Amino acid sequence: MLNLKIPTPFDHLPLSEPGYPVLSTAPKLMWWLAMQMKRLLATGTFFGIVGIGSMAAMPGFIGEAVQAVADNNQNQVNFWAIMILLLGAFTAWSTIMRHRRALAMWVTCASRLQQLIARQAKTLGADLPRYVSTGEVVSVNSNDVERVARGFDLIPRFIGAVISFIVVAIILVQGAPTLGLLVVIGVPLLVTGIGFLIKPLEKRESIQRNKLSRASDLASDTVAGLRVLRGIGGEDVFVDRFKQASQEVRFAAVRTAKMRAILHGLEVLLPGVLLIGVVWGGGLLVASGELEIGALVAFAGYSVWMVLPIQTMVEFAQRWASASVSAKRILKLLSVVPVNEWGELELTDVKTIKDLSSGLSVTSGELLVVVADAETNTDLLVDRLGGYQEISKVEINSIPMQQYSRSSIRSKVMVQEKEPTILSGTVGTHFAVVNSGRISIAQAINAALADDVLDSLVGDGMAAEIIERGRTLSGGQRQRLSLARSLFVDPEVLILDEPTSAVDAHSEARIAARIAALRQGKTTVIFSASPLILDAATKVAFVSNGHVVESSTHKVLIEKSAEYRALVVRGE
Amino acid sequence: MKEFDQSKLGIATFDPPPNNTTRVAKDFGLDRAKARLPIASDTTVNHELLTLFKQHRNEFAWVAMLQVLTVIAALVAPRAFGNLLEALKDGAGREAVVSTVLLITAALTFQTIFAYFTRTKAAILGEFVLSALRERFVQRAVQLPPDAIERAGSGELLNRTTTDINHVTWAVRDALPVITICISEIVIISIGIFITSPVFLAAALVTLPVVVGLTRWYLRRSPQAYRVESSLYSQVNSVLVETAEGGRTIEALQLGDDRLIRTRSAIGRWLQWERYTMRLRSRWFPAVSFSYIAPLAAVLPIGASMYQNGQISLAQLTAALLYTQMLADPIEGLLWWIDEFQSGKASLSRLLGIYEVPNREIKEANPANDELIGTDVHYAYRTGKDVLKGVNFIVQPGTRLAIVGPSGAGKSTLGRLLAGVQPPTDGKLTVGDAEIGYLPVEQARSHVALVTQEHHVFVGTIRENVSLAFTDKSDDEIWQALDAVNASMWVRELEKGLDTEVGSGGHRLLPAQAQQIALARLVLANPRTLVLDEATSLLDAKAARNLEGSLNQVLGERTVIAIAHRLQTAHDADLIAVVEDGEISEWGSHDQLLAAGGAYAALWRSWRDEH
Repeated sequence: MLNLKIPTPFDHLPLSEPGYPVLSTAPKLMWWLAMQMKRLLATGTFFGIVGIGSMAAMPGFIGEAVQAVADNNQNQVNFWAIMILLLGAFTAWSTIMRHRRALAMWVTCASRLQQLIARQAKTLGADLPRYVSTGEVVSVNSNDVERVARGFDLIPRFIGAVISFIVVAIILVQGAPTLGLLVVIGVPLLVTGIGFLIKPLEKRESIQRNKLSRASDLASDTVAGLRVLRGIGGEDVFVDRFKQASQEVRFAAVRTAKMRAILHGLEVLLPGVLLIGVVWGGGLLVASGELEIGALVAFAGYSVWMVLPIQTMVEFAQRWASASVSAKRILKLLSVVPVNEWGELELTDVKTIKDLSSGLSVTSGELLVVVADAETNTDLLVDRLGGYQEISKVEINSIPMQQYSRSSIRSKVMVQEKEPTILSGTVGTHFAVVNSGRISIAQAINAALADDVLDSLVGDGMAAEIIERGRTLSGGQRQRLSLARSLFVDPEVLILDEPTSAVDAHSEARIAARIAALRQGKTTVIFSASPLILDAATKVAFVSNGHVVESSTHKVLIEKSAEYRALVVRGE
Repeated sequence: MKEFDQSKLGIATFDPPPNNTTRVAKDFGLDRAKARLPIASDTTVNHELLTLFKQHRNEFAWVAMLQVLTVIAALVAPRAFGNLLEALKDGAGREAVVSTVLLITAALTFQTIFAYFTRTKAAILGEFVLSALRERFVQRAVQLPPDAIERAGSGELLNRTTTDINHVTWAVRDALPVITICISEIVIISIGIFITSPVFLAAALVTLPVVVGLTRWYLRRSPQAYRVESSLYSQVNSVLVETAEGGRTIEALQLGDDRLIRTRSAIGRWLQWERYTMRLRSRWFPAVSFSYIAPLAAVLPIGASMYQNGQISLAQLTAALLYTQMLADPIEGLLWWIDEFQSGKASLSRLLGIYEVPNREIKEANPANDELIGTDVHYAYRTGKDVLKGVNFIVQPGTRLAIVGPSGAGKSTLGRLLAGVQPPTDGKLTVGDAEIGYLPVEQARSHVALVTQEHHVFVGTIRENVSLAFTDKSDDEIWQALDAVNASMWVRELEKGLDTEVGSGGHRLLPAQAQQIALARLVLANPRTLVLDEATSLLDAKAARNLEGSLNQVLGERTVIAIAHRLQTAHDADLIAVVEDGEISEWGSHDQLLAAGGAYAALWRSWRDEH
């Protein structure tokens, strides 16, 4: 086959920039989205009209051909046969042209929304959970984006259906007023009549879905905990539990199927009833000589065809109802404007960081280990020092932190959380972060004793893949991998929250010494109560009940404070 | 925004599609990880399907008969309509119209009723078969030998439990009935046309080879392409979700712009496949839809000349035309759903595959006591790469043994062998002279139980989570178990106490609480030997030590083997084994090892700050 690149109507995607939508109301957001793809909308609608229009013409053509047969006119028959072929070809062509544009609209709209949401998530950054739950973001991504986009791809077909319906209705009413009206009024009535059954069906379907997802949850749950079950027992209890859920699914599914069978029966029955009406009314007209045979054939064809545009309209109404609900949810997410608590000041050198409420102070170049008792809210303390909460209560170089710009604080002061996120990708992407250039990846990995983590991954070196965001790794492995990344970044101030809590004592001692060596000349704050880490500290701050009570070296504190000793010395 | 540099960011999970409509390999886009559980062969699957069919022969026969009746009823109306046209042309009056209407009405009534019963009968049968299939699968899954579960990892088995069961469900619930309906429609309608006139059947089927050929062309390319397309679409979602969930880390590492580039490139990779599948459809859709119109154009001129020659009536011609139109839907449906059915069959082969997992090799024995003896124990995950290199030990019943050592030294492997998850690759590991790795699972676990740091919380109440198999335990006993792991405090504080729903979707337990629950299960199960692999690692140091203390009181004379990274666990034990590089380098009590002045002593001193 020729190796030609065949163009599609969305070759320009993904956009380099998703644009700035109108975020006042959901309809305006939808309108803005539509206006970003005017051309597609216009050409798609054009093909929608001619495509569905040509489909609508088919019964008329067949009617003419049958009439010609009845009239014994072979030439006319041949003519209409060729016309039917041409019409069929035209319908096929215009339908695929419409489809290509409709699909282009849905992907354009979906990808634009995805890019807008990504930009919003980036803007909100660490503050995102303050404004919207991450679960909400997940559900907007996985449901609402698609629903809104799917609303657009139906537009060409919908407009085509409406126009063709009107044209055919006019033809029918002009051809035989009473019979025409019967069809024009009867078809929508029948289709919407079926619609009344949709609600109870959907209700049963949703019951069935819930039961199914419960059964499937139980099965996954059993399988996920299989090691526990095989180790202690209880398999039968769980299998019985699943069997019960599975039987519930079965009964719910049969109930749904019965409802669906009724619907299917009606789908057979109602067009049939319509056809009977047309045969009856039309037949009588033909019998009395008011209608020709061919016209009766065409009438029958039209009445069957008219179900299609009506179905399209019903579908369109349903899709837009759900699209507008989804648009509201997207709007809610996109229109969050973060409160800016930050100033403009650029931070160049960090000489001191002082937390006013606890009295904790960090001086440039030291390796400070903070030991906090159980009454201290360590998380909040870490967040304050790193500039994630209550930034007004911290001073950097004796200036309140909130006067600095957020970006300059982030580039100088880095916090490694208790359980840092590992992003999916490879070892290479894990280390594809802004860094000082002072420390090599190999040095960082070595310092964090993370070599064995790399060995356990599939693939070689930097190309080795970290699957499922490192969920397959053990807690200790994830910790060491994150620590290596933080050391590689080599920020001016590095704050580590319990970086070795899941690491064995052998490794912890080595890591502590290597961190100290690697961080020479930079500022490091570690929150930990492990003697192995405390050994490496240049200064130790002991925080009790939220306040620094002692600040000295580990040795001195051990001698001096019984409370401190109780916290760090073990094995008594 | 800078262009995406794939080499820098990695994540090339799928190669991009061809620029044209060249076919990609059939297995393209399937999970690249090799299946770590067996997959049943085609023969097995066909045999299973045949067995199912035989078991429900009568139900199948009923459904088939109803279906045939439905289609025959459907054939009445076109013929009656044709007859009416003929009669009207010949000058018939009202009576002909009325009798036709009555005939069509009767046929329609039958068709509706038959159609309804076909569907319901088929659904009842299908759902029965499905529930049996999935229940048997889960039943077998929970009986898999522990080492097979370890090898497969939970992902693979989970995949089969969810994705594959769903595929099979679709195939049985949707594909199978549609396929049967389509086949019967094609056959009966064709017979209808044939009876009208054999020539018409030829004309009606004139484009069939084209349709079949094109559709096969399409189906050879599309399934894998759609699979990749949808998995790349969900990758866009994953990137967005990661950006939202990892907001804190992303901000700390200043990766915000990088996330935008990743989103954009994920969209780009998804769209490449959208383009590819659109190219496929751009060829197939128009060609096939035209192929359904063409037979009409063929039937008309032929029919007209036959009509002129008096070979057929107008009624026959009309009926043939309508029948020809009726053929299009089932042909398309058949081609389409056969493919769905194939993918259902592939999933079925993965479901049936777990029956082919070899059962654990059993050496029947009755352990005389609970003494654990390891003799030259070797273990290798890959041949030639020993993780354990000849370990020897004797653990007397009632001993508290701590295993310490650097990560990767083989501690956890030793723990699994001790619990009989699998036998050593070389050497012997016995409990009371019976090789524990070869005992039946149920017997092995009454002797030795293993708790790891993996803490699964089952969907259900706390009571169910603690009791598991022991559904007959009283609340008092459950509270005692919770007491033993220091968990009764927080459980009492919960509004519903033991009845609190936990697990996915329920009340969320902290990792440390989940570990306590895992230990409480063990207390209740009451095996004679416990292997705890970092079982308290998620608790903070003080809590862990308290828990170990109270656990020791409850466990009394039982053997406890604790693998730990905290040295106080070692200090509290009767015996300590230091495992380094697959060997036991030091063995003895805490005091003995301190006196020996080896690696343990050095570590202890630095840890205790005894400089």
